[in-house]
Amino acid sequence: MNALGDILPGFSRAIVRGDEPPGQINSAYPKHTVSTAIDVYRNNYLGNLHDALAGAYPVVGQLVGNDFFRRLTRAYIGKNPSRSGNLHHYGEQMAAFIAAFLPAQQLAYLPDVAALEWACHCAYFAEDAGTLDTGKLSRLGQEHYPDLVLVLHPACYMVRSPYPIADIWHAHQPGAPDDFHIDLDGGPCNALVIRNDDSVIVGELDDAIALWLSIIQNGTTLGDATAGTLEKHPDFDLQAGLSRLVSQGVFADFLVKGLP
Amino acid sequence: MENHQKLLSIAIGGLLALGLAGNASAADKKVEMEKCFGVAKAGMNDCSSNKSAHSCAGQATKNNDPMDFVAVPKGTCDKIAGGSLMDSGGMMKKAM
Amino acid sequence: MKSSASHALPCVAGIGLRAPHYREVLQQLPGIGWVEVHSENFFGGGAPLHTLLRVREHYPVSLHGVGMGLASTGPLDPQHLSALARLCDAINPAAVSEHLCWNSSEGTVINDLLPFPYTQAALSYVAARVEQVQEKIGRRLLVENLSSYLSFAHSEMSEGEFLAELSRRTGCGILFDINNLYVNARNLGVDAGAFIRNVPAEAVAEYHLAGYSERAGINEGESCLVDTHNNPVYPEVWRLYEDALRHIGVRPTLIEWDADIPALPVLLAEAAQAQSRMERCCECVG
Repeated sequence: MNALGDILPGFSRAIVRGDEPPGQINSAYPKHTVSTAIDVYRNNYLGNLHDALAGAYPVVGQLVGNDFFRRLTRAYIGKNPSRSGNLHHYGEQMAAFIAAFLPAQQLAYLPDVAALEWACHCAYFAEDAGTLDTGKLSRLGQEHYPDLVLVLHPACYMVRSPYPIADIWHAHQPGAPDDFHIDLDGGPCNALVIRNDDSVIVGELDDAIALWLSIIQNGTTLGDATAGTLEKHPDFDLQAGLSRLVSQGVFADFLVKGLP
Repeated sequence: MENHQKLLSIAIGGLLALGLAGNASAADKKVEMEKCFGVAKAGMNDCSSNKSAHSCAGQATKNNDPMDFVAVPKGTCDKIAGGSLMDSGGMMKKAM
Repeated sequence: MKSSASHALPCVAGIGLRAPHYREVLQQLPGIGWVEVHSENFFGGGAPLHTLLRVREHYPVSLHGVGMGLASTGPLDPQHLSALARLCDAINPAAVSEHLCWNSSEGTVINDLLPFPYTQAALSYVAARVEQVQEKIGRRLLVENLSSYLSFAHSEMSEGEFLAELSRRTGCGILFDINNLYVNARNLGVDAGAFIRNVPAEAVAEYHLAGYSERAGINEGESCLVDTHNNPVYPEVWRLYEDALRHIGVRPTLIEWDADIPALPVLLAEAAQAQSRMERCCECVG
């Protein structure tokens, strides 16, 4: 415990919950009261978190409009305190929160759009890593191929949805035409988020390669992931899928299970 | 498993034949017609006091704001349509 | 510590570099003495870090943290500390700074810069944490005085005295924000002259300048200066800066502008104003 433990919790609750400020805080100043001071801090607290959410969820913001988005963020902030001194970490629970947020129930696709935006946000700030070294791979004996474990790049994410979330995302990027119409029955979407030349890119995968990648993401070996995918998609084209994903820098490295 | 061994060899053989340079080739980049965002995202952390007197505060001293239930989305969502739009799972009261 | 040089930043004016100006600065490479950025915006990799590495090729960079919470009640966030250390290693900054504040209590982070009572017990506590940061990043830390909107009845010393003693105990430098001191003088009745006269000159390693705005309070007739960084430096703050130059000396000086960010030439003109005051002061001392 430390010297400040008797005062900061009360100060914090005054800002966050509107509780009575602790008595150790001076009550009057030359031109303002302690209530105004707490109000300035509360405005900073709510405003900074709102701005962080607006930065992470620009598409959700456009979809629902400013007023609704402000209500959404206010409700979110009330239920999800910040846990990091870095505002870029704030907002991770938004997809789940929207899914349970009654006023947004009509927009059934909104949680998945939020999940895609969070993936893009994380991809933007993710650590750097190399891409799969095919030279090293070429020196590996073929007998080891089934035991390959492919390591995903930290800036690579996949978001799967029954709604066309990649189309929705693209329609809301700067420079996209305003006069779009998206049919929600356009089918499911396996959105792939990658970072290329510092840009975050959203693409789509077909169901077979998306299933395969989701198994690979769990750390399953190449042999088992491929067998598992072929069971559901007998026409799965591993060669095409693997070439595409490797060329897009989806993998950072590989290990061989059982080898040091 | 032998089958798969052959399949894996072909797939990785194809990958290696594409070129040992490994990284995204020019051809692949051309395929990338997808929109992207890069240098523009603003950093959110700064050391100024929030200037917006949109005062989130004041009105917000308590949680569980009942206003939530009268909020209506008014954005580009009206350009997204389809059978599933009105399907709220049948469990939820219609909010509007 | 790898570097204990007290003037690693060039002793000239610099600007806070923010996202709207990255492209222009990198394309035109205007004559700027040095730039300062907010550390947390460059944690991780990708575009932010790569942009900063390019900036670093042309300008000395100062890393200014807003999220460490030196006075928070819980342990320092190890993830945050490691991210700062990695960024320092990547950028090799000319200075690293944090604020004399707290930002978290009982697990809830308030992403703001919050004041605390300046007591002996708090001094020992914060000093240990400053040492922890300095050890982790392998560099001297500069600690900045705060804009505050309230104060504590049981403070045992002024903020200036607290910073002076903190510096004596830990070897940390002082980042003296002139605008913050002015805001506190007006809002809280802090004695700005005493701060300037009593701060240990040799510990002051950098000045900050910015513009505040005045906000009405919640009751009729109340008002409060808020440290919004969205205006030019006010004449009273320039005067206080001149006092500091005379009493403390010329130090690297930053123009901070974080909201309603103006065109780059406006920012550079503000920096030029600071520069000309620094040079006038040098002349009068020499």
